[in-house]
Amino acid sequence: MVIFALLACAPEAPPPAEPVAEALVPLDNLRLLRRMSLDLRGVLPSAEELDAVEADSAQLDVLRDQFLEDPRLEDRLVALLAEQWHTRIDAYDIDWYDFDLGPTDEHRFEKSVGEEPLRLMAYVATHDRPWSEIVTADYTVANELLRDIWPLEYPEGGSGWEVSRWTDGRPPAGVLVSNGLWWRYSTNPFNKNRTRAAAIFRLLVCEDFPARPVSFADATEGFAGVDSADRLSTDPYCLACHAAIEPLASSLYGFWWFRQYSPTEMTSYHAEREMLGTDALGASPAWFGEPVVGLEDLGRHIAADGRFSECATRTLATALWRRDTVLEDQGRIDALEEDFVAGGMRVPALLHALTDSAEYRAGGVTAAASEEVSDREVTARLLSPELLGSITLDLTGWAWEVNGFDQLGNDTFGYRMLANGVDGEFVTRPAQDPTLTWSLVLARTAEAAAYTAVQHDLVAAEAPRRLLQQVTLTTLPTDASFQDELAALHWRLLARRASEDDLAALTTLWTALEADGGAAAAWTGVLAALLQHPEFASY
Amino acid sequence: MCVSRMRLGAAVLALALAGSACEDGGAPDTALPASDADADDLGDFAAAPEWSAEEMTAAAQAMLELGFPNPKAPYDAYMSLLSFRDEVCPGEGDQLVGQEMAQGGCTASTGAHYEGNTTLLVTDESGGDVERRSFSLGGDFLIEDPEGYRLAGGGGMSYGISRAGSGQVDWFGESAGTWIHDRRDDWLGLGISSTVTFGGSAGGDNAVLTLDGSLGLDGVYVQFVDLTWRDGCDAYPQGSVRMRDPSGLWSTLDLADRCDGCGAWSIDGLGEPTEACLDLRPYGSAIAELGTW
Amino acid sequence: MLNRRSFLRASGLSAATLALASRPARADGAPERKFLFLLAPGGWDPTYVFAPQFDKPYVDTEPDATVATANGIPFVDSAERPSVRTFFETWGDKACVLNGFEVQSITHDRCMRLVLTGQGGGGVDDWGATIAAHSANELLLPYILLSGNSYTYDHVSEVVRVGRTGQLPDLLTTTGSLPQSSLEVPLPGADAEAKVRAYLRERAAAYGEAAPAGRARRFASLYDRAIGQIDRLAALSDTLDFRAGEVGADGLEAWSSLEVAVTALSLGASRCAMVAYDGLWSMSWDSHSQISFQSDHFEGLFKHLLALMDALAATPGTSGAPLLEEVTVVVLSEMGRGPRLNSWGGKDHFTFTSAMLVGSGVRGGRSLGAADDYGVGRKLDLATGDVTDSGTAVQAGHLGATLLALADIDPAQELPGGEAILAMIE
Repeated sequence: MVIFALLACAPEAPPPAEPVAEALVPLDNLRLLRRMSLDLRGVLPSAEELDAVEADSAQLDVLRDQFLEDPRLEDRLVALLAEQWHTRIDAYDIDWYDFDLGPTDEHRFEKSVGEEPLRLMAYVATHDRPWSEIVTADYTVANELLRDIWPLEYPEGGSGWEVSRWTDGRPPAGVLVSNGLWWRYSTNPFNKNRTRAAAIFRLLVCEDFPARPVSFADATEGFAGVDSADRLSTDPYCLACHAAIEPLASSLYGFWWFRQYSPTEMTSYHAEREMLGTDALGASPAWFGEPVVGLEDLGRHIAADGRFSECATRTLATALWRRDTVLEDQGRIDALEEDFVAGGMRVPALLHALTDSAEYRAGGVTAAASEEVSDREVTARLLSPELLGSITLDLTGWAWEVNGFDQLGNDTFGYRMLANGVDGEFVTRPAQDPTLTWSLVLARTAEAAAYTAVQHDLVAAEAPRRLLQQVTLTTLPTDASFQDELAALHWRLLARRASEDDLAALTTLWTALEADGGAAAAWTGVLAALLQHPEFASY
Repeated sequence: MCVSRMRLGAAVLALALAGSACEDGGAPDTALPASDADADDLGDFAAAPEWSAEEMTAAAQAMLELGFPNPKAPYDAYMSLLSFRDEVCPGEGDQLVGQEMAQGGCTASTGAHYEGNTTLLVTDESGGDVERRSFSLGGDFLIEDPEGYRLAGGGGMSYGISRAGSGQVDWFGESAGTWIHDRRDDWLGLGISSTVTFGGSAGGDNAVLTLDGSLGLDGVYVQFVDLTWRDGCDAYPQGSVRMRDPSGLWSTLDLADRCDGCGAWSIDGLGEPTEACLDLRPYGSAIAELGTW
Repeated sequence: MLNRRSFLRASGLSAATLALASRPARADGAPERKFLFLLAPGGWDPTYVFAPQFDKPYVDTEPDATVATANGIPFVDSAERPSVRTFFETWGDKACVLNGFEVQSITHDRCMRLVLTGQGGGGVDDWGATIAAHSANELLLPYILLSGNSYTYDHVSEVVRVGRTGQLPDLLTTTGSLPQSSLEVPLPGADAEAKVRAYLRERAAAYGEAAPAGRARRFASLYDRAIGQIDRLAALSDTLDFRAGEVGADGLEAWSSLEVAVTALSLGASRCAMVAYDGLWSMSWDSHSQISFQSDHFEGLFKHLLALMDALAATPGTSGAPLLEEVTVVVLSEMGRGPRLNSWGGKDHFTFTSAMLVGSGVRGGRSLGAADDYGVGRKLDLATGDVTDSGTAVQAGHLGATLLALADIDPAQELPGGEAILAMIE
């Protein structure tokens, strides 16, 4: 019983690590630029950026540093953090119609609520704030929709996501007082905030309490006459976890809602209920044995906890390496964390270091690499549904939307899970292998984006063009501009100069499609093909 | 404290608890303070109280003077607002039921709007050896009268009273959840958030009034812990009251041994106790009054 | 009997068009075994059906229920659950109940992962994906997930999600406009798409050849496979229909999905399928209050099971024999419920639970496992099924190993220490 707790705490020396860098083959600079642009900006590099790196490899790091200051990094961090924080779910205990919103606001409502804590973190990360501020901030980040439904001060004349302040007296504690977080990690009279405590442990200090094995066969014998609640505070077996869970759960009673599913209750903070947890759980608020006085104090305890900075490092490493960190990573994580803390916990510096890492820059493994390394290192990443959406929007202006729903961002009517995305409830990590449904989503997205681009650039011939710069509907395969266009598309979309074979295959496809459907159909098909190309769909 | 009306007539009336947020015309201060560049001192944080004992009890006293959270008030308001119904909206019955009512509600021909779901249980067992009356109003709802004033509730209000043949009267009540009726200018007009239970017994051998639970009203937050009024204590209760400082620290006023509303007061875990007073007689009177059959 | 719109509209389309000719994977020449998972999410109370515990002094049991036995299986019988009795009387000889195995967690998320993979962390595939991945056939829809959960790591590409509201059919449309889109976007049509796919498969091959070792080659291979699956689906686009039938008044959406699952298995398109049944009015089985709802949930579950068994018996499988001879039905929940009622009249989470296997390969007419006076599962001899203190403390991994063994997969290769419960296997 107690042994479990001891084993959980005992430091374990990592096994001798295979020098990972030696087992990895770096990605070529152009594909690496593409990877960085996608991860940090959510869009492909421009042709000019590709040209610059092709001409001078030193430009790669210059551009990477620019990407780290790009305003789109904030959106990317929201998407990356969502994969681990799991707040972008499709339904909460409160619905859009509880706030006099219309059906076409449903998805915007759900997305806004789920993104609020993520936006706060992304704001901290991209505005030269120390990462500790995510649990000490006296503000949140909200948009107009949230302004209208939550007790928030939103800047006069503001638009979109803006720093806002709560007006209901909740303490300054960043995400710990986020409505979005606690609507996602809800509780009920039986659970008494324990789920929320477990969420805090997992998300902020990477302590996954539910991962610990639990066996009632090992608990003290006999439950007769003993309420399970009493057992949690008396049975040494249960105390191995609940000694930490109960006090943290006790600190969250300002978010205790007398009535679930009530917007009137669930929208505001209830400071008068802060002390109810002590009676309800039989434990005073504390963080791993250290008493805390309110959520502001809790936030500071968390930020001062050594595991907080390590967890932040792991979280971002997971996001950029596209895999869970493992024991073999400990040495690298330690080094990254040390620099992160020494630099004042500034996220861009950590992202810089992570994008310098061999794991991030790998495009393959050596012949001598072990099977374990070969399977573990994600040397070819799958385009996530978010990236697919942001790329196609940027390239063609098309977004898959219906009745206000982003079809790549929801599972109510959309295709997020089918496209290997994370829904935050049933699927909690992004998948990296192509699947049948992912390919179908990719196909439909590509077809629609291609159609949009061709209609704009060639059929309506609107200026400025978006993607097809050189051809018209009367251009023939024998024309120089035809081949130039294919080469330019290949360069832009795949970050690789087209070979003669590449161009010939595209020309053949164009010709076959043109014979059936005409030039517009042919260009649509060629563009759709490139937008599904394995080198487009992976990065 | 002030209330800000929802801009869109939405189902929730936010309770703005910070005074500065409600000053008309002022742009909210969203400028960020200098960030904590040095993370090393985070663990050294120690909250410091903003209020003295006098300020704390004065704030609590002012809150008490706004009135006792009498569950009859929202109940009466609710029943009164039902008078604006028509045969369709919300139709027959005194409860708001159904998915349509929950999702968007309806507007009666009078202009009153009803939205949400409620459960209402009213009993009246007069006659017999023990007579009982009670109501229980629970739910999550919003009713807007033809003039645009709104009653919103998320939680439960209940009250019950019984009278035995011997003449003993017992009563109980609960005010729980978040409630507001902006037509009024008292505690309910400001809006409360509470989990308060109260009760009383009179006419028998052991007259007593009790109050327990937490109450948030007008930016002041208190927790009544086992307050009991008994005869011979000059209408003052015994027990304790916990009050929240704006810093987030809680203080305790111990009224265990006195009958004058005064006792030892201290911020939890900080400093030595000092003497402080809180006059809870109005609340006792209000609870006693509810014991009128 | 199937009485709703079926998976195949056109008659005469045989299983062979949806899979390569089935190559038997079993030594006895029978086609490889298939699996249909019927999941009850939320944590059921086995004392309502599978695990009569009226004699346990510290276990609160259902009033007015009794122990009955049918086909050698003792079960909890109640007038409120006629379908349970009918099931065991009709199909008990093909069913094996496993009581008292442990899922070592008390949170839903973790328990679901444990019961479906045998492990609590990530980095592993669930039973359905693993079994599908070991198929000797090139399946079109290896593991079709109509509802419920699936966890994948190595075998991501085996799982075909139909979508929370059945979105997959939308994506298969090749004519008309892009579905579920505010903007009118015409689809290119089947011919154009086929040409593009041919180009893509060629490019994938080239990409795979040029790629360095590691995930890129794997990507290329799985990418090509996915495109190939679309090709095969596209070839049948006029005849395939994933859409489930109408939902009945008692929430029989689960049955509609089961019907689709049966068809997918019968055609050899899938080796595994999962459907979740959330109980009466989709309340979920998580009865922290009003434990009596478990009775309604079980009655609904067994009503579906009866219809399912009839369908399996009446539907031909890939061998030509009834599908019942090819399919093992796995009925499970991620956790059990505690022995004592709580103050809300419900029961809280419990690590000990039950499961039931029915059909192909199952040693029927048996109920294995037992509980002590506190509802805690007792140890089992995995070979004989005897309850004995010198036996094994049965966990979710043992159930999984049993499924792998039924699928002709060596459990030890997939599951550390994996040991099948041979007493459940014919």
